[in-house]
This record gives sequence, C-alpha cells and structure tokens, in this order.
Amino acid sequence: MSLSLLILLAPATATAYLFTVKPERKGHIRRVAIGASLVTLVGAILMWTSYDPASTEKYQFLTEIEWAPSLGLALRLGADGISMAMVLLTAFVIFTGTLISRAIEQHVKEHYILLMALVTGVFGVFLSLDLFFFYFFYEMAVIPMFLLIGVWGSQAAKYSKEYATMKLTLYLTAGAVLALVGLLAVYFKGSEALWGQTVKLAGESFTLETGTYTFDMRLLEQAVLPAAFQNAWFPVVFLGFACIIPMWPLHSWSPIGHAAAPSAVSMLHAGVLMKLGAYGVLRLGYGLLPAGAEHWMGWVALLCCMNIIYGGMVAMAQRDMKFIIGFSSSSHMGYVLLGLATLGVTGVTGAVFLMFAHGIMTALAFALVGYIYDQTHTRVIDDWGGLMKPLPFVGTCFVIMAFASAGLPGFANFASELLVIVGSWNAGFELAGTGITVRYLPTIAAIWGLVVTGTYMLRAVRTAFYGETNPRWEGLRDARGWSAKLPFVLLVLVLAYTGFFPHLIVEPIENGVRAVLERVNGASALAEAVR
Amino acid sequence: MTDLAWICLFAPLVAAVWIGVSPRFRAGAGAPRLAIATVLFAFVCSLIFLFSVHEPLQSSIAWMDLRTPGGGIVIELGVILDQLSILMLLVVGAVGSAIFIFALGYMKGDPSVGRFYAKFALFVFSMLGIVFANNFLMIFIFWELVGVSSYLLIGYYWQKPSAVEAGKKAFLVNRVADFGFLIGILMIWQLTGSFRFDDIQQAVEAGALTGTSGWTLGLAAFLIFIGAAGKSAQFPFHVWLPDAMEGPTPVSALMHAATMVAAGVYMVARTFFCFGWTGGVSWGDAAEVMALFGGLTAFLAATMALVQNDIKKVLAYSTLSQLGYMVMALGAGAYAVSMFHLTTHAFFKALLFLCAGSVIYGCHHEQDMRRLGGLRKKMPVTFWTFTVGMFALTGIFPFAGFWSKDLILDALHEREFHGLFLLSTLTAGLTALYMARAWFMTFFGKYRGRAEPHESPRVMTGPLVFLAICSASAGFFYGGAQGYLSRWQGMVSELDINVSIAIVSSFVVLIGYAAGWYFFFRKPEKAETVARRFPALHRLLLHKYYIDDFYLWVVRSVQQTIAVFCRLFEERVIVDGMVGGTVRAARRAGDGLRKRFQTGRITQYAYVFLAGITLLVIVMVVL
Repeated sequence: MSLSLLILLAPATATAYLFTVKPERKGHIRRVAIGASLVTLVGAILMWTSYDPASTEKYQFLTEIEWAPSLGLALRLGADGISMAMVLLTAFVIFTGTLISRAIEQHVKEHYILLMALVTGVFGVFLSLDLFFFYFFYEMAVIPMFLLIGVWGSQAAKYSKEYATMKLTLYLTAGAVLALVGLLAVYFKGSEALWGQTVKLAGESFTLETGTYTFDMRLLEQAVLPAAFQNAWFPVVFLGFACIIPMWPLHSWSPIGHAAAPSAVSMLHAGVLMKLGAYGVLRLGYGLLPAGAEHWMGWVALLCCMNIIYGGMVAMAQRDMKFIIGFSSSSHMGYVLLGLATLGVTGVTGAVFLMFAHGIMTALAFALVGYIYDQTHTRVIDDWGGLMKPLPFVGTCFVIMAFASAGLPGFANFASELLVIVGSWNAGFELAGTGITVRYLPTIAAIWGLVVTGTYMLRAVRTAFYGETNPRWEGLRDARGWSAKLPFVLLVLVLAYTGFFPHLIVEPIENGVRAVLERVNGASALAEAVR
Repeated sequence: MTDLAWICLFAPLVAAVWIGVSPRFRAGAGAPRLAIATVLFAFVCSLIFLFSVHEPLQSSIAWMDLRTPGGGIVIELGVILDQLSILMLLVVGAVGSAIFIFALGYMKGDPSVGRFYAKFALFVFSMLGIVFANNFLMIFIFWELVGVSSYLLIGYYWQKPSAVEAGKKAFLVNRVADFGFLIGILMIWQLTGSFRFDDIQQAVEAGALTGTSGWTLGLAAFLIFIGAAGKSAQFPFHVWLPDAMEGPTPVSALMHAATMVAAGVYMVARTFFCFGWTGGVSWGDAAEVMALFGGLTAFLAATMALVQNDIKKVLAYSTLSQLGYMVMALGAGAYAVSMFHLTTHAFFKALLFLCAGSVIYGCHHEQDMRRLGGLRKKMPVTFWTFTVGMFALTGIFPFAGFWSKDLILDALHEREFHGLFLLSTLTAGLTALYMARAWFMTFFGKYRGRAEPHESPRVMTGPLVFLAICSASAGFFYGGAQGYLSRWQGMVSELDINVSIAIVSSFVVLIGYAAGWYFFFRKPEKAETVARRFPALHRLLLHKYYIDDFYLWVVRSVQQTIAVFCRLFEERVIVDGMVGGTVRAARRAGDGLRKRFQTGRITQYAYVFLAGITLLVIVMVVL
C-alpha cells in the first residue's frame, strides 16, 4: 500500500468506524479520531522524508484503482513536492485540531465523524491525480464544513452562524461548479488532443485510443491545447478556484466563516481549505492550461495588491480577534497569489511554502483564540486585556504567532515571504489585452503589507495581552500539562523548524514547482502553433 | 576561525532558548550566569580575532538554494571576519559584558530576571548576526530580529501600558524604515546580481554599473540609508528612541545607546561602496543627503535634550545627537572616523547610562532630575565615573570623545561641508550645556527626593569603573585604531587631529560648560527667566518640534480613517451591495417566476406551453 493510499484511508476508515460507535463513548470516539490523525501525520512525515527530488517521475507514491474504465475514470493517487507539502500541512493541522477539540461536548460523535470526513476530502484533493476524484473529494470536504459551522459554530459579530455557513457553502460550491465547467471542457478537449498520440505515463509509453476519454491529469497535462481555447477557459477555472483562495473581491465569505466556525474547523478552514484554491490554480490551472496561465496571471499580480493592502487595512479596523485573523488570512493569501503570478521558480516556490507556513500559523492562531474564547466567551480584544498574567503560556504562544504572522525571521512565514518578494521583484507582469507591463509595484505593495501586518498584530497583542489585567480574567486557566500544551508546542515547533531550516521543505517544493513551470514558461508560443 | 565565529554567533541563541523553554532553569541563578557567559565568550572571541585575523575571512552556507545550472537565486547565511566586524564585535563584547554584569545588580529582586536575560541573550544573538553578516539578506534578517528583541525588552514591564506602547512604536517605526531598506536591497541586487557584499563591491569596482543613471543609484543608496536611519534613529525616524527609555536601564545602555542604534552606522560603513565614487560611477548625492540628515539630527536632538527632566531622556537625546555626528562622518566619506566615534561613544554612553541606572537604583527608581540632586557625596563612585563619561562625551581633552569628535569635525572641514561644520561645532557647545545641566541637577545642590539614596553595590560599580577607564583612555588609541582600520578597505584617507579646529571646538565646549554652570548652578532661577522670555521656542522644544504629534495624527487620523473606510466599504459595498445584491436579485427572480408563472391557472399554463412549442418550432425551422 502506498503512503498516499494510507493517508487517505486512515481518516476514511475512522469515519466509517465511528458510525458504529455508541455516542456515549466520547473518550473512545476522541481517541479514534486522534489515532487516525496521528496515522496520517506519521504517513505525511514519512512521505516528506522519503520524497525523492532526484526522481525523474513527476509524481511519486502512486496508486491506481480502476473505477469506471469506460469513462476513463480511476482513483489515481500520487504526490509531487507541492502536494507533499500540502499533505504535511493538513496532517499537522488535523492532528492538532482533533487534540484541541476537547471543548466540544455536544454531539461528540457527529462532530468527529464530520471532521474525519472533511479531512478525508482534503487529503483526497491534494492526492488526486484524477480530475473526477479531485472534484469528488472537494465536495466531500465542503458538505461537512457546512454542518460543522451550522451546528457547532458561534455568532460572528452581527452575523449568525447560519448566515456564515450558508454563505461559505454557496461560495465554495459556486466556485467549484465554475471550476468544474472548465475542467470538463479540458476533459473533452484534452482527451481529443491526445487521441492517437504516444505519451509517457508512469515511465512507460502510453497511447490513448481515438474515441476514448480520460480524467487522468498526468495524461491531460501532456496535451497541448490551442491558445484560444486555453485563454478562454483559464479564467473560468481560475475564478472558480479564486473564490476559494479567496481573491479580492470574492473573499467576503471567508472572515465570517472563520469567525463563526468552532476552533478545529477554523483551523482546518483557514489553515487548509483556503489552500485548496491556490493548489487548484497551480495543479489544474497551470498544469492543464499553461498558456492560459501565462496569458492571464499578470492581472492577478495587480489584484493581489488589493488582497494584501486592503485585507490588512480592514483587519486594522476590526475588534473581534477571529475577524482580525480572518482578514489577515486574506491579506496573506495575497502574497500567495503574488508568488503564483510571478511564474518563476523562486516566486512560485515561495508561494507554496507560504501556503504551508500560513496554514500552520493560522491554525495556531485559531487554536489559541479558541482556547481563550472557551473560557472568556468573548473574542473582542478590548474585552480581553492583560491576559499575559493569567495565561503566560498561551500568551507567549500568541506573541510568537503574531510575530510569525508579521514576518519575523526564524519562522517559516518570513522565509517564504522573502522568496515571494525576491521572486516578484524582477518579474514583469504583463496585463493581457492592454500591452502594459507592471513592474515593482506589486512587490512594493507586498513589502508595505509587512508594515500593515505588524501594525494590527502588535496592536492586537498590546490590547489583548499586555497592560493591566482585567479582574474578570484573573482566574483563567492556562494550558497545563503536556497534553494541553502539545498542540500549541507542535505548531510553534513546525513553524520554527521550517523557518530555521527552510531548505528541508523548499527542496521538494521547488522540485514539484519546476516540473509545473517547465510547461508554463513558453507555453503560449507552443500553444499558438496548435489549432 | 570562521567556525569560532559561527559558535560565537549561535551561543547566545542557544542560551536564550534554553532559558526560555525550561521554567526551572529560568527561575534559578544559572540563567543569568549562562547569558553572561555567552557574551563574555563573544568578548574573548573578539580579542582572539583581533590578534590572529589579518586577512578577511568568510564562510557561507546556502540557506535556501533555488539555483539551477542556468541561474536561479540562492539565499545565504555567511560570516565575515575583517577589521570592521572585529572592531564592532569588540565593542559589543566589551560593553555587553559590562552591562550584563551590571544588570545582575540592577535587576536584583525582579521575579522574572530569567526572562530578562533570555531576551537580553536573544538581543546579543541578533546583534552579532548583524556584525558578522556578509550579505544584505542576512543583515536584513538580523535587522528584523534586533527589532523584535528591542520590542520585547522595551516592553519588558508589560503591565505598564506606556512601556508596551513604546515597544510597539520602536518596532513599527523601524518597520517603516525597513520598507525602504528592503526595496534598496532589491534594487542593489537587481543592479549587481548579488546580495553578497564582496560580490557587489567587485561588480561596482569592475564598472558593472557604468551606464546606470545616477538617479537610480542615488535612490538605491538613499533607500539603504533609510534602513540605517531607522535603526540609528536619524531624523525623521528618531521618534522611537526617546520613548524606548521605558525599558530597564541596562537595556537602554546596551541597545539604545551603545550597540543596536549603532548598527545603522556599521551597516553603512560595511556597504560604503554604495555611497562613494567607485568604479567610475557616482551614487547621486546620497552621501551628501546622508550628511545633511545626520547634521540635522545632531543639532535638533541636542536642543531637545536641553529641556528634558528625565535623566535617561537627556542621555537618549544625547545619543541621537552623537549618532547624528557619526552619520555626518559617513556622509563625508570618513568611514573609519565614524567607526572610531562609534567605538568611543559606545564606551562613554554605556557608562553614562549605567551611571544613570546606578542613580535610579540608589534613589529607589526615581529618574526625574528635579527630584534628585546633591548625590555627589552620597554616591561618590557613580559621581566620578559619570564625570568621566561626561568629559568624554563633551570632548574634553584628553578624554575619548575629544579625539573622535575632532576627527569628525576635521573630516567635515576637509570635505568642505562648511555649514555642517559650523552646525556641529555649535552642537558641541550645546552638548556641554545640556550635560552640565544634568550633572549639576543630579549631583550638586540639595537632595530633593524623598527616599534615602545610597551607593550601588560592587557588582554595579565594577562595570562603571571598567567603562570609565575605557572612556578615559580610548582616545589615545586613535592612531592605533586608524592604523588597524586602514587595513580595512573602507578607509578613505587617514586624518590627524587638526590643532586649530581642536582649539576652536574646545573653546565652544568651555562656553557651553560656563553657561551650564551659570544657569543651572550659580543662578538656577535665570534659566526659568530665559525660558519665559522665549515661550514659543520653549514650547517648541518641550513638544519635540511637534514631530511626534504629527506622526500620531497620521496614525490616528489618516491611517485609522483609511482602515475604517475600508471596513465600511467591505460591509456596505462588498457584503451588503455585491453579495447581498446577488442574493436579493436571485430572490426577486424566484419571486417573480413564482408569481407570474406558478399561478395554478390551467389556462395560463396552456398558453405558456403553446408559446414554448411555437418558439421551439420556429427555432428548429430557422436553424
């Protein structure tokens, strides 16, 4: 059994098994969920350490199970450096997320079933090499999210949890449907382009018979589609995934969704789910429609400035801690978009690394806010104050998180943002259709974003943790003992470890990115020749 | 040797982390000792390097390697050992050791002294990173780390809102400056293709930049200077430094007087090839602009120091002023002289701050000079060492400051910066005036405080005496220091004391002292009269030229207005307008369909059915 199948099966099996457990056995249910997450974590770490950058194969850890051969449909799993990093991220977030879900007391069984189903879907998306299953797993992640926020969520400022979850689900589904339309177009057009051609598949020669279609990404990636087709369909696929990233101005579901969700779901949501969008752009947008990406991404470099600066400015005017982190996330995803838009190895590698770093950092943030919220029942930072005194450990972790978010060297966020900034400086962003090339401006916005992030993060830290302690909070319980501290410590360690030794994770990511970009750079010229 | 440098660099980090993660160790007496050991180790290393390194040594490791056979970039961490970095290491090691030991006494009784030393060690790590860095990105990394350790230490008394606010201010002002710095680094990288100092210098000297417009080069150099201006608190980024005095006094002494604030000067000296005439290109007027900013800071800060009542604030403004001198020297191209003043200043300013700390400690945490006074007899060691520090600062022959300041005046004279020369001579007089004021108010007259003052313990006076000896004698090494630094390539020309300039400046200083004696010892009421004679000027100085108020207005009014506007835009336009509008449109469409077509009337259904069929037929026939 390959590692990718193991990682997918562990939470899937747990989901199925938990249906059979009596709801009263709460401890058992939790242990099963934690155990399954631990298996995925071990699997993901093994995947990281055994990933071979020198391999000539683009995807490793391959598994293929036939499903509907007449449609060219099979459960095809595998990972390159990009998916490996995302799987690692998901595994850390779900493991710590199940650990901090202790506070859930209602409908424990249902909660963990949905959480495990959700994470099965997320792993499935990152590991699928099949268009159909990519979409299937994606929907599998969205539905549990809807229920988790709707049932276990909380009021987010003036918005009810029902509003939040409806909005989130509608956006995510609408985005996915939009992407699906584009992907189906690629399925037909790409398969037809491959008819009778001999291509490489898993090291062997393969010829797609005329009249048959395939959902296999590895095959579709090798089809060279006409430039007009790619330029027309890339925006559809991109916009679909841009809803999920979320790119400005399609972002408004995300901060509200973050704020309304219970802690573990916020962690998964901000830590992992948003990355599905960026991953989709990279894997499917860049992979299947490279000329379209080359044509259009210049505009994205301009739009992402809005994410970075506007998101940061809105975060500055928020008082609810979860909203601050929510808008901060949309600001940070702007850096990811900027990195992707460079179409260069440095920038795109930085973007993927930042997806990892930001996922861990945000998971830490929501875990900490959730920890405090469970006791104070408020998230408005002005109501907190001087929390460092009753909560020295949690407070210290929060300060570390704030600095990691603000780009402090020593944490992964800095290393990855530096790659994005350096990678985007020399890039020229061509605005398709106008003949204008934008230079420097997006990078300057990104560097100014560091100032903005520092401002709202330090303001939040000052208001919430320093100063006189509000007497109401004198009696708060700090995280005591190993099991309570473990999730926080683990996430901080991951951030610091990959921040100190970034090459450990940059190397496999770069390996995957290079393979994708090899087809993107110069794709327009190639596509122009095809009709 | 470079291995030793790597160990020397990372030892304080290991100490900081160990103290940080082990609560039991943090609470014990071992934590301060471990931190002190690491900084003493840095001092010892600097002495070893001083005598054994003659040629520049470097060693680099790839931190993030994205190279391909064709190109790609690599981000490196690397150490460089040359005369410049060894001199700076010596300053950090020597002053750092003295202050770390002093803090043992000063912080005694503080329940979280372990936390203090962990942060202090973190600072030393960050500072050493700047000292050893051999490329721009590494210096930027440690630049940020220094900013964070400064934030943590200024806000050490985190229950105190003003301390937290001051830490935040320091961090954010530096962040704004770093915005320019990073853009400058990227520009230089784009022009020369490397982040490494030696590569950049080679590229510049080999003429790689001929053909690039002076405007571009000037902008790049100016942006690099902006980075330096943030750390070295040059106008208009100077506002954070006086507020930073909220931190414990040893922190002020080490970071906000001797080493961290000097990092900007060190960095410019390190990258001198970006500011001068080398390789046949002119870097615009960046150097002249830099000198101008330095002169402005030196003068403005000295005037502001005149009206401060907090003893630490006087010294803080004095630090600003002296940093202005160093930056002026850099602008005049006298890098070695600037570094020499940095060295002597580190000793005497650390000494003065520690004396202030000793006064504060001895007077039970009183630092308002209006409630001090007459401490000459009660605290003799502090008094005499403070006096030495003051003479050194004001440039009395033969104390250290005399030599280094005179060399700066010399350099300004030689570059024919006549305006700046006059301004800095005048500032020398002002320096004597405000120092005399502090001296008389603190140590002479009657004691005006409440708690009984006492001399500080040995662990505190020991470092004072050590630093006093350094401050008194360092000037005599100016020949040696110049000779040592002349082996480093940044040296432009050797300067010697110009006797006529020395006489003029000494004369101005003596006038300053005389005025100080008259206004603050002989006839203290006269000072009040003068202040009342020029109320507008006095108010201007008290309000620090309204620069802080202006920034506060920008942050509170402009920035917050934009933020609130964005938030309203988000809520009204995006959420209610675009998203809500879509929802309303969908609902209205559904309503319309239901009311118009889902009526339940069979006849209407039949008509619609018929219309549909007709339409289909037409479409099929036509197409």
